[in-house]
Amino acid sequence: MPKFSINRTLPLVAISLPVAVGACNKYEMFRLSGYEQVSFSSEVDVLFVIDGSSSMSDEAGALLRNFDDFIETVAGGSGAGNATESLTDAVGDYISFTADRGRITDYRLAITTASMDAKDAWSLEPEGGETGLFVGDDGFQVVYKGDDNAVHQFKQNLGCWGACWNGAEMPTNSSYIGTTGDCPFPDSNGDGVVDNNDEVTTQYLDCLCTDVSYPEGEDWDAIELCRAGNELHLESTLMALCRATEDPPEICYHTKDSTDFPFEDSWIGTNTDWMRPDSTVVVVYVTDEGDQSEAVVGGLFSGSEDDPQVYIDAFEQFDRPIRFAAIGPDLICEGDNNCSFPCNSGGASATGVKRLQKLAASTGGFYNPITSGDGDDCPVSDFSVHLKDLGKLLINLQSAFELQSTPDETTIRAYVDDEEVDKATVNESTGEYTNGWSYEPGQNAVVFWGSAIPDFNQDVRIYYRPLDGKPRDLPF
Amino acid sequence: MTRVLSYFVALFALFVGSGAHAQPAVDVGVIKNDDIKIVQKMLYPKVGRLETGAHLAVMPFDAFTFTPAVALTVAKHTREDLGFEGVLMGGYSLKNTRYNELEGPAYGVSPDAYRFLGSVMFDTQYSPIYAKMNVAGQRIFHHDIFVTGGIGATFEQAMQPDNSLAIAPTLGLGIGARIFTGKDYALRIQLRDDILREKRAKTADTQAWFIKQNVSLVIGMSKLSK
Repeated sequence: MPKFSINRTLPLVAISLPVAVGACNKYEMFRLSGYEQVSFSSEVDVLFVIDGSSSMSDEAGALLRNFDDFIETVAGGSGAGNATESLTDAVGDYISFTADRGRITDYRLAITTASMDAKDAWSLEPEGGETGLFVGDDGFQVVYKGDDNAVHQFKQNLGCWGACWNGAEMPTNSSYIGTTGDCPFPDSNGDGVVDNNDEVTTQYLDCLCTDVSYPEGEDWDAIELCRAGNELHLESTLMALCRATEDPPEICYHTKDSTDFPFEDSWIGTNTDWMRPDSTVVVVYVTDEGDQSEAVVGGLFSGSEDDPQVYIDAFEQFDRPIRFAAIGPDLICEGDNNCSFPCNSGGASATGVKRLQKLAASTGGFYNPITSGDGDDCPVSDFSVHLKDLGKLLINLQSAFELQSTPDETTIRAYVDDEEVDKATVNESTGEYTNGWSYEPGQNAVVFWGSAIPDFNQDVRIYYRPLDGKPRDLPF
Repeated sequence: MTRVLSYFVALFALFVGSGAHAQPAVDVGVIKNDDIKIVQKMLYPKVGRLETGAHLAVMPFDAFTFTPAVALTVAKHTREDLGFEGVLMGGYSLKNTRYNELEGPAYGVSPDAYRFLGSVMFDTQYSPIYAKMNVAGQRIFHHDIFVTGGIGATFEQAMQPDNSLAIAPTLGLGIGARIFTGKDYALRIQLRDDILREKRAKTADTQAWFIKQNVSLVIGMSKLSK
């Protein structure tokens, strides 16, 4: 048996111990977001969920009237603009991102209504605008940024398919001049300018809907285009998303036992070519009522709760950022229960409105009142403001970097081309941010403001320590 | 009786004499291994000499970094087996492939690793072993084996873009060999383990101190002078 030798053993210990331990240095793991330029996606798929009831004709008119400005905001000066496959493609086309951020927004627009009644229109099967199905002529339900006639097509989908009109009560304007495919909004009061006092006229809709493929003998004035009954905005949105994906999540089948609108495999892919794999989805509600997606009529709300969490959970199953904006009834609350409607022309309930308000707030969207003033005959609010807000929301997506984990906010550090960006501060009176970044819990995203918004080709990195500690399972 | 006694004496003398002639010869040239004790003549003494050296180093054992470095050493040998050494080391840690993989889109994770920039250490050097080795029967190298221990400070910087600096008190341990290549020169090979007590700015709220080990392999030349 060999003798123990301190001279032999010590060097072995001295060599092996530190080598073994040295490989186990402990480091805190931070999450890193915004690494990929592709995550800086410019793809936004927008779904308008319109209240298609007869009380909404004024609002639909306001939307039509102001839609040009909206498109101008999100598409840049060229109107339709150029679609880009990715931000990398856009780099070659545009010199300055910050100078005209709207130009790189690659949008797709679609419209459905809040109606979940498959029997509303001409057939007993779901038609456009029902159970989440997009409205529009076959093959033209989705408006692409690259379309030369994107504005006209969207207006056609809205004015000729999505809205409910009563031709007998609408103003007329015999001097209206328009041609198929080029139907300007009418100067119905003849004051020489198109403003908020002008309304949709029958001549305008005749022009707009000339080449629409209605069923034989029907037109924009058909009663079948008016959706009555319950307004299930959230359920309709869910079904629209379920129809838009080739692999619907489990939640889509929650209506499988419904006799009215059971989601079935034949619905898969019926809202085709709208939702792209890496896009952000923005849902815009335009309604003078609140949401009524209760279980008794096929929704997910078990009762009269106003917390939309059950639908937030459902939308999360689509594994993509989804943001919500709403132009809805003017509900003012002092505290959670003391609420009132200055104007409630649509007969909305506070619960239904709160659902939309909370949904918008929780995802970083906005909620704007659809009316202004008070009383029974209050006017429609300024849709140019709403659409500008929507344009900002869409463009703001370019500056928002979603984080994969919930961060310890104090550990967030943002870098653009390895230069640290300061945290922005908010002006309490104006609500505006200084140049820098802010953390938006609703989106779980870091949002850049002002001159701190990254330009093309700039490398954006956001480091943070996750609240739940270890970021994820690592391969070693 | 006298005749008989003489006979016996003669016979005894013959017996004894014959026995002496039968003993085998003793081989005084064979020595047992246990009997061998050789103390080699020390050709390269260190006592009283000043040793200055320049070295290259790497820290290859960290999980997320790889660090090339250079070091300068100055040692005073007060005894043959005892010396005191100052070590000035500078380097720059690089992200290794594992770090880069983690930072990539597949994981989106960034370790809060710290980059080695430099260290100043004051070591005591104990070298109890002086020996020579025969290499392939062609050449004999005289060498010694030493261990070191000391204290100092290490300067590091966060590898994440905040570049937070850390000055860490450091305990240094090491073992090495000095291979004498000439009367005044030696090739030094050393394994160092610098144990840092490091405060990291970004996580100071949740963990005040981290223990980090910078294990380095050092190779260089030193000059022994009076």
